[in-house]
Amino acid sequence: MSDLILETRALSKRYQKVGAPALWNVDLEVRKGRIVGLLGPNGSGKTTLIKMIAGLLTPTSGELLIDGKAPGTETKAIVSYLPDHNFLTGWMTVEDTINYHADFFADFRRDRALDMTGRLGLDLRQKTKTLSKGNQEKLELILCMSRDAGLYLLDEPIAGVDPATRDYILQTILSNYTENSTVLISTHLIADVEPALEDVIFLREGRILLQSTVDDIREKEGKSVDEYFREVFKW
Amino acid sequence: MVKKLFKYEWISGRRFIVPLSLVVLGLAVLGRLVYLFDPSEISFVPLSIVLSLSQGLVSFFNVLGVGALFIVSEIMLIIRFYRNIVGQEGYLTMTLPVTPGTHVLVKTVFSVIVSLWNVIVSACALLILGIGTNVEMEILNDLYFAASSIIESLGAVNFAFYIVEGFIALVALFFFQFSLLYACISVGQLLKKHRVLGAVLAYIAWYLFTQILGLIFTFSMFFLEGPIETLFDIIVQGPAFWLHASIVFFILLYAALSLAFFAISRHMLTKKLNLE
Repeated sequence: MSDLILETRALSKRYQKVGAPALWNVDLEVRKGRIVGLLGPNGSGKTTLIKMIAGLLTPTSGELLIDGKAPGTETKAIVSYLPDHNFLTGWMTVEDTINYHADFFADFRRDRALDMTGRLGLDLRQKTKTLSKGNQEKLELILCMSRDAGLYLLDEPIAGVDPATRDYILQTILSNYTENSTVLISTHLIADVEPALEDVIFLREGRILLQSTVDDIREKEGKSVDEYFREVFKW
Repeated sequence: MVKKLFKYEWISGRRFIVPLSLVVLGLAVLGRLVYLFDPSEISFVPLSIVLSLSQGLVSFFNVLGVGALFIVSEIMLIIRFYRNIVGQEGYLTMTLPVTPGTHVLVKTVFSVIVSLWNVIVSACALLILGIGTNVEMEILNDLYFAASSIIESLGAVNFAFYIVEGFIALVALFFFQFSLLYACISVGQLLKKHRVLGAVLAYIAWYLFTQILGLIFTFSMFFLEGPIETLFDIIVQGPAFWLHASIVFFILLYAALSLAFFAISRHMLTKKLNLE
């Protein structure tokens, strides 16, 4: 059995026939049980790559394998995706939303979700549209991390939230992922996530600039990932 | 998974299906109560006028209620499809372990069921209005008599058979209608902005296409005078068969178009999904 949860070979995505591609010739290998930072400035192709892994976008060319399989219903069953958009159904209550996830995802742990919502003080009978933006984001994270997924895709999970919520989110990620699962976090707030990261992937203009372990960067470059990122992506 | 998808369609749909149905049936009951009294038999003139006005108003709201039942349901189903599939909810819906084709199929079938339910509710409302009265039952009897006379004059033997055939045609029509609407939304979502407008334009494009086809057909009538007359003679010789053949033709046409529109939606949502 392969040790890889994610493989891409010459993966490309073009939204329009003319103009620069969103992703170009991306070759990636991500091992199971790692926390990987997908780092790059805005427009570097992070969200496009994540959407393709989640099965929302189809590659223009190249190959994408998740646990050895092409994206489809089988891979969707093992991928837990936290988009950078609010995906909650407004008329549903918090409890309805939890039940919805429990119904469709075999790996969803209802008890874990209820425990986390309880600790956050979310009212199960409250409609999601009446939750504050911060609480909506927390609920979305709870739903995502309450699954025993093989691969967690977190697209900008800490962008636009206050520092306290940021800590809560990072703590939730770290305390809920298991050894066999992989977490792919897309962000440009590197300093906040750096302590949690094991591997990093640098993306620039749709191309892979670097794939390395955090330890290697610190050892070879003598810098933190945040410092190295600032150096590489300096204008 | 299909069962679960239907479950959540129902949970979403019941929010408007149940209240709308209750309003239509409630109005029918109210209408029936108001029509229990005959204004011409009431000697007190003001009361007679109020009763006459009430009867008029209740009849008006009954018609309005039935119209609203169909229109509001359809709008709500379209909104549900848009938000749930190509709107922000799509970030969850389209990452469920279900194929896009299954999503479209379940939503289309559910929409057809809701439309049939609306037909049943409207028929029940009509029956409630007609219980124990002469007016509505007379209309129903007249309608039945007219329809059966036409069928008999065409030489058909089984009226029930045509009812079944007509019902299948209605189901096919509903399938066609919703497959078309959902295909238009799936095409409209390709635009970065003004996606609803894109869907409307796709619908108008289809409408224009059918109008042009209709025009071509009409003009061809002028040039095919001989064959058309021959065809007319054949139809006159066996009208029942031709009525049957026309219904079957429309069922097959709607089924084929529904499949084509379903294929368009599936392709767009699988290969060209463009969430908000």
